[in-house]
Amino acid sequence: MPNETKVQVATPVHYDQMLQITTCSLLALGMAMIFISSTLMAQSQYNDAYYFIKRQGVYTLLGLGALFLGRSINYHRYKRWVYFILLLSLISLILVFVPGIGGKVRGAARWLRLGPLTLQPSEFAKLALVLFLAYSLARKQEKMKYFAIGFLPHMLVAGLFIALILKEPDFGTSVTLGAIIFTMLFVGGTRLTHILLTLSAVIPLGVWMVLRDPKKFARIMSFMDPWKHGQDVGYQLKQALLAIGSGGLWGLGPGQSRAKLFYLPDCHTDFILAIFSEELGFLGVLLVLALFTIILCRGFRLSLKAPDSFGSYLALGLTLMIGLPALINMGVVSGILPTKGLSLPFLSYGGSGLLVNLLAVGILLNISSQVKFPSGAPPKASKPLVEAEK
Amino acid sequence: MNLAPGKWVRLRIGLVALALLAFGLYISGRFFYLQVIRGPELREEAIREYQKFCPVLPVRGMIQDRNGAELAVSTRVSSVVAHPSQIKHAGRLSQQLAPILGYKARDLQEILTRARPFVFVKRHLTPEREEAFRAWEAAEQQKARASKTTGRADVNAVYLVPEAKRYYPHLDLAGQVLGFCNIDGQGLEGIEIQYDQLLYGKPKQCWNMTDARGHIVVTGEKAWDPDVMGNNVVLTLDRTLQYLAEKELLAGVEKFRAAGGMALMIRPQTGEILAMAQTPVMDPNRYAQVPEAARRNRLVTDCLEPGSTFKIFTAASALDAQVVKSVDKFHCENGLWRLSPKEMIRDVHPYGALTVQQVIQKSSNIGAAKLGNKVGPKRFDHYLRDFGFGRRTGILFPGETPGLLKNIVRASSAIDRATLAFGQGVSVTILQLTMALAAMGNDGVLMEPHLVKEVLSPQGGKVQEYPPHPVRRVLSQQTARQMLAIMETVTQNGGTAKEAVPPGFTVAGKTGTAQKIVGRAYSHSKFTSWFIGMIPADNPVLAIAIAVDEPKGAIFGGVVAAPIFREIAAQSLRVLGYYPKEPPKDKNEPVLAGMLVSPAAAATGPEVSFTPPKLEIPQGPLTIMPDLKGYTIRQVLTLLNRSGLHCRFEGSGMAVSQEPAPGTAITPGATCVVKFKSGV
Repeated sequence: MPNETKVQVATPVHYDQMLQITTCSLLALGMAMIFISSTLMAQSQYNDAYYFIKRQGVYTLLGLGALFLGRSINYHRYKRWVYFILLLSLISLILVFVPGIGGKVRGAARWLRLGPLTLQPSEFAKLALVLFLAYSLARKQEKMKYFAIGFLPHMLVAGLFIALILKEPDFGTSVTLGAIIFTMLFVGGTRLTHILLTLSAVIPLGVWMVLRDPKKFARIMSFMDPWKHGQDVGYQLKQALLAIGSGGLWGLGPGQSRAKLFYLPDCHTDFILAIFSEELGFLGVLLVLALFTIILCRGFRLSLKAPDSFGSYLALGLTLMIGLPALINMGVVSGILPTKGLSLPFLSYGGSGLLVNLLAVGILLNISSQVKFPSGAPPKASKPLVEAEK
Repeated sequence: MNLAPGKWVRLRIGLVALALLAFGLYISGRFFYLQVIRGPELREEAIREYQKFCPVLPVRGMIQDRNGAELAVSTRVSSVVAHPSQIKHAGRLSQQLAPILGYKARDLQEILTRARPFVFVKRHLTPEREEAFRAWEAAEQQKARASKTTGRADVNAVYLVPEAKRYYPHLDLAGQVLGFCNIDGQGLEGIEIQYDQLLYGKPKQCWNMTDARGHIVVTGEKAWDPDVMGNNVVLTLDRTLQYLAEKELLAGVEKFRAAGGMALMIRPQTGEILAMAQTPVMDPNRYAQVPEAARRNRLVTDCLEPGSTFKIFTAASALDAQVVKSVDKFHCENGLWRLSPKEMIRDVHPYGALTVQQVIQKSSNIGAAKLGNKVGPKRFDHYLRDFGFGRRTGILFPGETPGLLKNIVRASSAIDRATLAFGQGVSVTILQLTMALAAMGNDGVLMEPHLVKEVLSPQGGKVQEYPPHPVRRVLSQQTARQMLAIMETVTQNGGTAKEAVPPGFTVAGKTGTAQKIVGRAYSHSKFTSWFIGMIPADNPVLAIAIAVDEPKGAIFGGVVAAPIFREIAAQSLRVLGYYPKEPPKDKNEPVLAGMLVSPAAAATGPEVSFTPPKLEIPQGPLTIMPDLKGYTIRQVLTLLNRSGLHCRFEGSGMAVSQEPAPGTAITPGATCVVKFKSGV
């Protein structure tokens, strides 16, 4: 039996090539954009124009490793590790606040320092929660309707995570995480009334938090009218809109951005799309939107076709994990949504996010390799990989 | 194994996907609206944000000496400017900047809160302050970046801009001639104000693309832009001669502890001013530290009594009007001439009968007065005004005074008329006096003085040119020659200014010692010592006038001013390439002049070769006409005067032909004609 398995593993496994290629295209595009938009800043801040791109190169290599790892591990195995991963993630979220290990940058404790590496545990927390929810939803199935079984436990775990992330503070990630959780619960069969009731409790809380914090309030104000607050709180948004607008249909051409001359803060991280649209125009934005749409479509398709409920929920969660920040970031950059610190997956500079996103794509690819095709049209190569459920 | 998701779950997944896709569609619509529909409008707005319309400062043209050496140049310095409307914390900012810029914090805050879009905070920083400011700026920007506050930091609203600053590399050399500029580069005095419009250049504006920190990324300014550059003014001054004149004048003034002094050097043939020196000097780089009185060019703006130097114009008028001959004698009343019981004229030394030539040589007031009388008031006045006294010379320089020449025709008393003949009761500028003197060295033609040779555009093209401009003929050529010969005797044995002659050269000149007017009377303790002269006497290449104000110890022009003339003349001739034929025997020969020869002057070489002929001049009266070939005018004049002959001279240089021919018997009183030619 083991011998047989090995031979069959060697036969080509069918992954979702479209997802794989799209991801790699976004990755390449991101590398180019980070390079173009970060050199000036890197030169002035670190005296090395290649500071950011060198790091991003390393992250990308690590991320590709994570992608292959996720692709080769049978996703069913995660079931056993769900609680362990959840615990690990919780600990790392708490460690952020421990001085010495956690690194405080500009008043926010979001990072863990491990030697030369800095990790952002909230990114990994997203993955852990998605795994947990997928596992839990798939297990409870019909019982999801019940408040005490289908809703309360998930809300407690998620609430703890979100509270910790809010404490960092990282408002953007908290909101994204909340959106992912509610969407998954909604799909998983929780009563809509539970969700709506919770939201009606959480939203006033969020509003109160915003009103209490002058910085967040200013952000909202600037979002309402960036031109009026263009010299202070709305500066970033105004610069982003100017950059996007001056791109026009065709863009100014690669490298021709002027907003990156220190006009637009965070131009290589959260606001990289503004530089991108300035240089490559509306057509460039359409390209990025198309690539993300492909990823979303493949992800949702996968969640419909997955061989089992766990795979289905997992695919949905991972797709949301990539798609929601992407859409929210685009909305922020173009002034539809108020500004928050969310990066654009695959395109923005940042190590932890890239690592987690690529790992998510890897898991998606693994799920795709186990899809059963009715006509048997890729051969049953994937079947032996599926471990028999006990 | 879990079951595959149920029907409802699939439906809900579809709903979520649709919602997300709808949002994606909305985003693409938003980008379409921003980039395509509002694109052009936002692009313009962005250009307004990224580009700044900056003034390009005009670059003031240079002032150069006749050989192109820079006497006034524009350099770049930095000034701190600010946009007060963009400053949020003016108080904190002024606390930081006050020590760097040398302000009081309160004063600085007042500047930084003015209700204007743009202010100058500090103009023309010294290099140390500029460095300190740049260090502060870099540190603040680092801080601003680190704090990551949204919006612009205050540091970006205060920055350095380049400005032009006038700089005079030779410090006080010709300071009063050059004048100076205010901080905005507008001329206030001297050549700077006279040629302000030509020098100023044209201000212009250009678009600069800047980054958010205010650094220019793409500039519309050109590195070398003739559009904004002013023209260059080329003076007739020679830097080296100016230096010599200032140096020797200062030495002379210090030796006699005088209050001040002036020296003017011109070329008689063209009216070009080669040196224009005065003490006390002024450094135009720091004009504010010099008292108002020392800032003006006194050679042009101030007038003085010319004293005895004026006698040469009296004598020239008399000779030219042909009311006297140079050998005519006047009785000089043994030093005291009573015009009326109350009015008298005195000589320093008593003399009996003196010829016209001796009146000048010995500087007899009585003789000069009698000469003046002989000309007659109307004609004398006419001659003096022809010489240019009592009116502006027409030099292009601000603040020229016409001097004061009373109309002696209407003078009430005889003494007023008489004193004018020896330079009392008349005031002249040293410039007028020198130009009138130079007319005698230019065959009787008065030239217009000029200080500017030409005005050149930044590309080197001629904008304006000032060729020599004759004003009028004042004397006949013959009278002018005669006067040169007469003036030469002043510097010879028996004259008043033996000190004026540099070894190996001859000088035609006149001394003067004028009492200064203090209040309404002539002072008996304050004098102006004069020496005006031309060198070489037979063919002057330089006319130099020296005036020393209130010398102490000695007062006579021959003692005080003549040595200054000698030093300036000797060194200047060397610089210009004129050398005595035989090496001078005087051991005190100055050597500094040789070191100062400017390359340009050396390259052009001597313009006229000066070779005094060494011919034996027969002693005693002559009976037959000698062969005059190869004699100089001076030699011929001495020779023929001694024999009682009148002569008429034509041309200049050495004698080439004569009438009557050599060997003919001569009778005293006859006239002979001698032709001269230079370069024989």
